[in-house]
Amino acid sequence: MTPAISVTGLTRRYYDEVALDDVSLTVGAGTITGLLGLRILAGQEFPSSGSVRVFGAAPAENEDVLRRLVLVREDQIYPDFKVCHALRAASFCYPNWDAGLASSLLKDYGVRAGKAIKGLSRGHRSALGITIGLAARAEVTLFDEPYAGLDAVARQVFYDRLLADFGAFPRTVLLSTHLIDEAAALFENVVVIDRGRAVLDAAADGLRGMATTVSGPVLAVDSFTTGCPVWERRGPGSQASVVMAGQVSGEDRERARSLGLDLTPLSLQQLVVRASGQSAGAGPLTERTWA
Amino acid sequence: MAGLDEGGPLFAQVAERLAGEIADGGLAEGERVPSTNELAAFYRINPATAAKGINVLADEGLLEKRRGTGMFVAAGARATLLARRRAELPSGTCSRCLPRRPGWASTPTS
Repeated sequence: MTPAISVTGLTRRYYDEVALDDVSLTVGAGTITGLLGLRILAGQEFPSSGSVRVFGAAPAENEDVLRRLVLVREDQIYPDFKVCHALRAASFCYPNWDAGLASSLLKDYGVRAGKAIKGLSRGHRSALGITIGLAARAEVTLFDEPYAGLDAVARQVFYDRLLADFGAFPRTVLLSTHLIDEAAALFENVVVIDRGRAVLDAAADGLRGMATTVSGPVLAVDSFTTGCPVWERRGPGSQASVVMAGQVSGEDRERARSLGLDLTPLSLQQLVVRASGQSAGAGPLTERTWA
Repeated sequence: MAGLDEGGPLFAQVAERLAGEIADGGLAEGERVPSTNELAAFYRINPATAAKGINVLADEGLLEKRRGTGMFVAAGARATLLARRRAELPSGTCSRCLPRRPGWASTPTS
C-alpha cells in the first residue's frame, strides 16, 4: 500500500539554522502518528532539499493534494472573519466537511458562531482550529500543537472527539505535541525529531514498558537487576535507582515486592528525552524499528 | 489512556481486561464484546491498539467474529480461562491479575 505521506532525505534550513537534517520517514494511511515539524508536509513551506510526497504527489502549491489535507497550527491566523464565516469557508474547501460535527464541537467548547474571531480568547481560537481540523474530515489531518490556551479538560475533549471521529471515519492523522505523556495512548506510531534528525520512529505501544525504573535499597536493586541491561544508575548511599531495559514479568513484580523495591515503567516522554539525548549515537533507542 | 496501568503494552492490558471479564462472567459466552472503537473511546487509546487486544483473544479462540455484527465470546471461553487461571496462578497472587500468556505478554527484550 502506498503510504499516505513519505519523506525522503528532507532538509530544511532557516538561514544558518538546520530545522530538518536528512529526515526520511513514511506515515501509513489510516494511522494516528505523533511527531514534530509538520509545516513542510502541508505544502506551506518548501524543502531546502529532499522530497515530500503526500499520496505520492508533491504537496506544495498542489491543489489536488491540498484539498485532501488540513493543517491546524498553534498560531493559526484568520482573516477578519466571524466564526461562522470561517466555517463556511472551510465547508467550501473540504469535500467531506461535516457541518453538524463542527457545530457540536463549537458547542462543546462554548464558542459562539456569531463572534468575531479576533475577539476570541486564545483557547477559543484553538477550539476553532480543532473544530475545523476535525470537521474537515480530510484524508490527511495535521495538528501542529493545536491547543494553546486550552486547559486539561478542554484538551481531553479534543482527544476524545479525535478518537471518536477517527474511529468512525478513519484517516491519517499527525499530531505534533510537547504534551507527550498526555497524548501517548492516542498514537499508533511515534516519530521523534531531535536537532533536525529523526531519532526515533517506532510503534507507540511497543515502547510502553520497554524500560523500568527500579528503586529501593541498593543491595536489593543490585540483586534484582543482575544480568539485565541497565541504561542508567543513580543514587549514592544506601538507596539506588536503576533504569532497566526490557519487559517486566508478573514474577519479576512479585520478586520486587518481596524485596521492597518500587517498579515504575518509563513513560513515553522519558523515552523520548532519552532518545533525544543520544542523538546520532549508538543505543537501543536509535534503532529505526522496535519489535 | 483511562483505567489502564502503565505496565506493559496497552494492547496486552486490553486483552487481559477482556479475558478477566469473560472469566468473571461479566461478559457471558455468546455475548457481543465491545467494538474496537468502543474500547478505544472507553480506554482513551488508539483504535489500532484496541483492535490488537481483541485480536489476541480471537487468535486464542476465546472470541469469534460474526460477519457484519462484530466479535462475540466463544463457547467454552470461560472454562478455558478459568482452567488457565487455576493452572497458572501461583497461590497468594491477587486473583484479579490474570497470569501472562505466552506470545503476547512476554514481549522479547531488545
